[in-house]
Amino acid sequence: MQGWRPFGVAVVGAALVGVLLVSSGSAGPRPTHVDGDIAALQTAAGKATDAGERSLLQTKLGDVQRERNEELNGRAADTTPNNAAAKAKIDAQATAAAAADHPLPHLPWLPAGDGFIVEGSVPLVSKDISVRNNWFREEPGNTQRAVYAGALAADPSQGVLVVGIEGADGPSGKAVGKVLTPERHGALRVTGATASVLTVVATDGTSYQFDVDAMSLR
Amino acid sequence: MVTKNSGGFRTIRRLSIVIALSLIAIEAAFLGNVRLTSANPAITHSRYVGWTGSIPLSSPQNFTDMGCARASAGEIGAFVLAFGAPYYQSGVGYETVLPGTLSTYMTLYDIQIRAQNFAYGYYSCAPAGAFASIIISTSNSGSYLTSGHGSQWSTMVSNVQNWITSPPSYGSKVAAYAGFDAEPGFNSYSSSASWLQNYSSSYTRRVYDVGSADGCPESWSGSGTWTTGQTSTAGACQNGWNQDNVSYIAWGNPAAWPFPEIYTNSTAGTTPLSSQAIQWQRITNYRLLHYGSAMQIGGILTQQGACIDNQGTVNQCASGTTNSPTDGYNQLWTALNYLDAGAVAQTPNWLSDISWKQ
Repeated sequence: MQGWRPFGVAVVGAALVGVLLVSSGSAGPRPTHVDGDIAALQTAAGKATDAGERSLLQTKLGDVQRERNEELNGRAADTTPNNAAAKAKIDAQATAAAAADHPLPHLPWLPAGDGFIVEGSVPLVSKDISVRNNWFREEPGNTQRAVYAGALAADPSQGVLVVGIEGADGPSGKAVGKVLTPERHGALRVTGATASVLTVVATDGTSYQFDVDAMSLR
Repeated sequence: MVTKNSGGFRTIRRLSIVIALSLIAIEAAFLGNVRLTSANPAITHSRYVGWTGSIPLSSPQNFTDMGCARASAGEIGAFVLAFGAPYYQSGVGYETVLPGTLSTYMTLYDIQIRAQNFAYGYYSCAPAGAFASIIISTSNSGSYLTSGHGSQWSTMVSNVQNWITSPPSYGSKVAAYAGFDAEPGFNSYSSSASWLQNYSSSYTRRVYDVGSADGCPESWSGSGTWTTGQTSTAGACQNGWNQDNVSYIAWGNPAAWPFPEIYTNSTAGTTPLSSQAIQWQRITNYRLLHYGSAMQIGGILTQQGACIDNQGTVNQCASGTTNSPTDGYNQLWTALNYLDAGAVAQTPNWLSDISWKQ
């Protein structure tokens, strides 16, 4: 009988390969979008020895199991998709939203010289600069010349101005340049303007004049 | 026992061994292929919500079209819709400042409507078996990162999901989640944690940390075994944060799951690792060493599309942060599975690249 063992192994191996191949195909229920998370959490929760950590993992596991049920319930309700009803749902939302929805307005603009000061730390995507506020003026072609005032993220004592032309093509159009203060007096803020010469003040009260068109800081 | 048929059995035995070894080889090859391909999941396209060409991406119909386009392209996975930094205006309520704009804001209600339009667009165009996890994201940037904003963000995302599953349900193909682009360089830990704690005080939807670990430990040794020297003591990060702080925002909070930015390029000619990949592996390992259980990385975010969109602009990407999605995924996957003897080995499910215009 010993001679049958390798044959048995081969049969079992073939069966396993068969199962693997079938499971990689279309047989069986389609997995949900959280099955991977559930498996990982079950494994982690089973190994966790700290009570607090185990509780955290069980909470997370409960969340993803609920999401799994939501997807499965959605499938059960969607066995015969009704596109007209689905469309009606979004149309009803559009009607309800129309009254509350509004064009995208702007933050308060404070008139200053040829343009406006916009308060607030509007984030630049570049993390090199921490912005405190900005000034801009309208220019031909529905564009805006903007001056962002702030400090280098890596060195908050180093004031900086970043100038760009925006609105022409996407989020920021064209970079004009970056100007650093000659000494480190902290982050800059635009406090006023005469025509297009800005008054910018550093954290320690040091004041500068910045000529936007000449790109000169004095 | 030797019998008349023992020669036949020997033949069968030899044949069986050959078959078994062949099957093992085939299976090994099969599993090997699975591992190689599973290391790079399908790529989805996420989006900064600001502009499309020169037109503000503002109308709900824009979002229906965006969801439909992704479904029609067969994209399955997570889609981050980045609505920018928190804002608040008296008489208007909680809002965001749209990313990359001078001063254009959007109320949370407007965001909800647009996320629902994306959900409908995806649902209506999705092929069988498709599924979109829509991550509605704000950030920890600016001075309006308040507890009230966190609480209202939680309610808004729950509203989106409740609308999705209300009859006729779209829940077979879409689900809503929150996103929190939390970056140490953007704000203090205390303000960021306060926002998240208020988000999670009565949450129903998970929140993905689609942020960074600025300044966190990123050293490692490639000589001999790949080791980082990570211990159970939290290392320092930028702006007063530490590894424990980052791990709380990404995982330690019950609602939180990590979906880290892996933007930084690897050093050419050395290894497929990068600073951000190592930072997140080390934070994952820190949790294992300190709390006894590793974080589970939900997904990986890259910004190659955004870098292409913004070349030569104020918002252009910092040099060395232009990973392709495949490179970003490979870097973190390699770090998780090979550094520190694979102590936190895992395979993240999602991979997405964010842009301004796609």
